[in-house]
Amino acid sequence: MFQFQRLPGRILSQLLVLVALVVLVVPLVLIVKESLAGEGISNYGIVLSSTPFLRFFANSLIVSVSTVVLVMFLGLSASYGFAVLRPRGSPVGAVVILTGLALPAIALVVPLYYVVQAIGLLDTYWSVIIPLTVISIPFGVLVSSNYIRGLPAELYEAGRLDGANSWQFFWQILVPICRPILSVVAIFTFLAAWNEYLLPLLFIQSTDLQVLTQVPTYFQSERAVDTPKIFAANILISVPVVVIFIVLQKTFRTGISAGAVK
Amino acid sequence: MQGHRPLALSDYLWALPALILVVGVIHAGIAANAFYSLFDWSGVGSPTDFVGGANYSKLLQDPVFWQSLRNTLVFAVATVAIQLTFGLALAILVRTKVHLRGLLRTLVFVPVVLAPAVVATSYRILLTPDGGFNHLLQSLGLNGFDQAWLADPKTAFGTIILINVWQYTGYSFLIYDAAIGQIDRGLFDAARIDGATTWQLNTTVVAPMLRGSHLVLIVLGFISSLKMFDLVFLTTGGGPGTTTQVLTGYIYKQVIAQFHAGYGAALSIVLVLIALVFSILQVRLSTSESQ
Repeated sequence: MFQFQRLPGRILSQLLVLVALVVLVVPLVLIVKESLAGEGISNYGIVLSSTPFLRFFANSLIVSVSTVVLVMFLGLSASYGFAVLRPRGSPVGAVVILTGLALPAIALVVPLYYVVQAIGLLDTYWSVIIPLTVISIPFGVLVSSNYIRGLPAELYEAGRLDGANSWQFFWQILVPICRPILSVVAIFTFLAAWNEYLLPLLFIQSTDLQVLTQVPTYFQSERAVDTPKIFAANILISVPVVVIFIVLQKTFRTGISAGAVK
Repeated sequence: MQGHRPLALSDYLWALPALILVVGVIHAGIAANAFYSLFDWSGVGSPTDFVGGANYSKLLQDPVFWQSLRNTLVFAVATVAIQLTFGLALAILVRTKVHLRGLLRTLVFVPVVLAPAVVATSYRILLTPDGGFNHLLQSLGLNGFDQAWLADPKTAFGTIILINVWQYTGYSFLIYDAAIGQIDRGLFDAARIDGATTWQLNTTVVAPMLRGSHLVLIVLGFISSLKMFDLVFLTTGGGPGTTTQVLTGYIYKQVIAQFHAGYGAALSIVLVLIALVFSILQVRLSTSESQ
């Protein structure tokens, strides 16, 4: 696109790319370096063996996967109602859901805290999964219903003529067609859930249920600030998402740009 | 799909689970906030001490509230401006014939997928006066530049903004990169033949064609700034003093640390109202984009 730059332009471009790379890499290198201080590579072993790290990992996975599945299903089924079946009042329903689009979870901390305690959900996976799901539903509905509206109308007519009832239509026709937008919803929701810090901080107290984002602070409280272990833990927490990103880079790229614009 | 069909009750069932959850948590939560905000309440037991609008008049005179609001706004404007500029510049750079652009494309997005909690705890330790970052500066002979980055009120908030820029410029980059890929290459060739310089090409062809991307990134940038909590909470905790406090952090502090649930609910209502504006903007933007 800009391939016909002259020499000074090319040198300048190359220089800027190098500066950008250095700025991006230096903090990452410092983090790795700090994680190897003191006891070296065995910092990682100690993090894995002396803390319930694998338990935290499993908990993060349980919370994230449940949230992703719930948001994909609830978002798509609501969009099916609003954009395909369209019973009277659908626009109102859509507005009711979309008002929550930009709402930070902390704006609900007072009632959430009160209700979670009152109905005995404190210190359960649900205390994190439910608020996370609810906060993510508006985005799921927004992108899914925009996607469905962009599909050719003949599709629904064909489904009708085949005599499929709405249940069959949803699972056999809509879900397969919506796979691209479902992966967008899955990527965004998974990242948000996996990286969520506030809700587990508020509602999870027992170590058995704690999630990965709490690990760095775990090291500060358990053993008077053991810096190299914090960095080793931070790297161990990050490796899964970074690996997933690099392996699925193409899906990520198209998914994230589609999710932003749709 | 305009044909009239008999009204089927079952058509309503599809949206019902999502509606129940959203109304039951978000709408009921906002209503409860509005109710609690009328009480002087610790958050424990039932609220009994009715004070009317006192929490709101207190809020208007609370300098920390205004500072948090201002910080949230400054954070939003600064991160959006810087991340859009850097993101666009990098997206244009990777379209030139430079070396290592593949590496840059991958690497710039790595920080985006990291947990803010991980990024914040790492930077907090790296940026202490005796931390890894200052050691690096000293080893490069830049002794005069070492700082108590997050502990000095003069540099703390700027440092937090730059951490966010480091983490999320990759997001703007990715959106611009995808959008530039969609621009018809014939336009570039035509402009080149007309003798446009690279600068003219970028300012008169590329930047205007990316209008949709600019708007999306501005709205999403403001929304994520409004939601930002972990980064401040885990680096400075709002300090030194209250110099880096933001709205989310101030609500947390009032409700969880100081048991001022009634006042926290009033603060939450302010956050809800601001969020509502951005919800509307995002819906309008996304429906106009997809048409």
